Amino acid sequence: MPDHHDPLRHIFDDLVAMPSPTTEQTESARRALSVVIRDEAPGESIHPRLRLGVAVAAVLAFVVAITVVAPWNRSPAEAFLGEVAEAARNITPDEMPQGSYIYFVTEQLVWGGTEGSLGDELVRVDYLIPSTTESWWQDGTVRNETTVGRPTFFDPEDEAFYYDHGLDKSDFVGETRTETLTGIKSRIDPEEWSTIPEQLAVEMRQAAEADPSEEPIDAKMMGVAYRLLNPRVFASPMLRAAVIDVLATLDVDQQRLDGGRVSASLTYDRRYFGTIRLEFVFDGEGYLVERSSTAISGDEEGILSPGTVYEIITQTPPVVVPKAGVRPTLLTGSASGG
Amino acid sequence: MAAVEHTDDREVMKASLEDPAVFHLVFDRYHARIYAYLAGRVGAVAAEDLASEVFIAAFRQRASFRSDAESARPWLYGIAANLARRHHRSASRRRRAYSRAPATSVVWIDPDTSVRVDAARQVKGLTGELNKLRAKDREVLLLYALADLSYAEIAEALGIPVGTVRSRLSRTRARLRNLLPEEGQSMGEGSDTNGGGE
Repeated sequence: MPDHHDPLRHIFDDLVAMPSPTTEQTESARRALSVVIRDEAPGESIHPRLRLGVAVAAVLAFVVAITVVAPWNRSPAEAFLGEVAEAARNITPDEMPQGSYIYFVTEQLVWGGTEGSLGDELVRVDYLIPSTTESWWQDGTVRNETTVGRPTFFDPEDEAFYYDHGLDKSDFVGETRTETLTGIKSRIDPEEWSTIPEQLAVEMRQAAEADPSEEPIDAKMMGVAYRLLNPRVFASPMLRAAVIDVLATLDVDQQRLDGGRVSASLTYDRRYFGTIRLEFVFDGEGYLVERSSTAISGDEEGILSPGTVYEIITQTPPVVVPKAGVRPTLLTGSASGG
Repeated sequence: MAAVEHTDDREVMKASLEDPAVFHLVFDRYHARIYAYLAGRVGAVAAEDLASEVFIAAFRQRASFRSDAESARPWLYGIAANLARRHHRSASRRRRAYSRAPATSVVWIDPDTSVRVDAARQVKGLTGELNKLRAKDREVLLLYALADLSYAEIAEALGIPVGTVRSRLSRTRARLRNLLPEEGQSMGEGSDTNGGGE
């Protein structure tokens, strides 16, 4: 039972009113909901008894689409993802002996921000901050060694403020930190996902539709794919291949890059960010090695100028190592070996 | 629709899968509370739209409502917390937004209330301390203090273990120790030493 005498419950008392919506506000919200309810076509009803039928129908539709329609409509350029999916399928799965760890390196440059005090004012500064993290994963345990680089600022005033007020200290700029976290519950169990593209497409779509954000469904699907392809998930080659096959069915632009790499990018309008391009890059074996987001039109606040890459994350394929702290270079003489 | 009017949320949610209009009952039961929670987090103006969005999102996701959950309350607060978080992310991108309105960016203060000097000082201290909290700790605190959810309900709303809720609140309690009112004492009656959160 809630402890209503807990002082923490009352921390906002006298400071925060808990107002009721006006009748007009309630009616307005109710009308908006009614429109959505009315717009749900009878065929979209999702009664549990119908779900199986819907899923089967979706699988059948997908099968028809990829076996009958897709190959005839697919231009050669659109086959790039299929090639890396096939390459992934031909890889022998790595074994993970008892007690071993998954090792990978993540480098990222992301749009960050820090708040700090300036007299009575609280000020926010925006910047792109780079970091490199080496990770060792085993079940619910991870050891991370993270080194943070110097940020890039959009505004010289922000940069001066940042360093003048020691905000770099709170970002650990120039430092390498090691942390070990335990008891982490992964939301993705690769065993629970189908390696049959048609079935996986249905499962991914269900997961995407559970995402309450306003992103378009294809962006949500790419989000699900990103989680499945994270190195720590240690997805089997068959699962990686199936995910790539599903991505190929989305409204993505496929490009062949150097070194046998292939990219898939989705361009869409994102609230506050304007038009953005979300891009995945796969290596020749179907490992997702890079994800980036570009503000094509610039964000609504005018912080990001058009064309700014405001997020770029690269990850090495996972390598099995015998214990935490051991790097593949010590085993194979190659950082990317494995 | 009348047939399910007095049933629990689980039955209402189930019925809404067959008859979408039944979902209005969920709205009628919880809209005012969700609005109040959001108003406390993002201000009354933004809360109006966000509260509306919560129920539209909930309607669209109703198939994912856990069939063993008796109440829709934690689920709805979970959606509301997500939307509020997103709203703050957007709002906080505005450079120096906090310098323009340091208190209202975090907690909304009834404009009709005559705010006393002590309370104003308390707001500043509280705002500063809230900003220093880890985002995840702050999220739990707001559901605890603003939405009045139990530990178990917060766990359900955020999809985290109850133990995590407990440890986050414990950490917050330690951090805000100097700002917590004594039992039976309101925030506005705090001494000067309570206002020194800056």
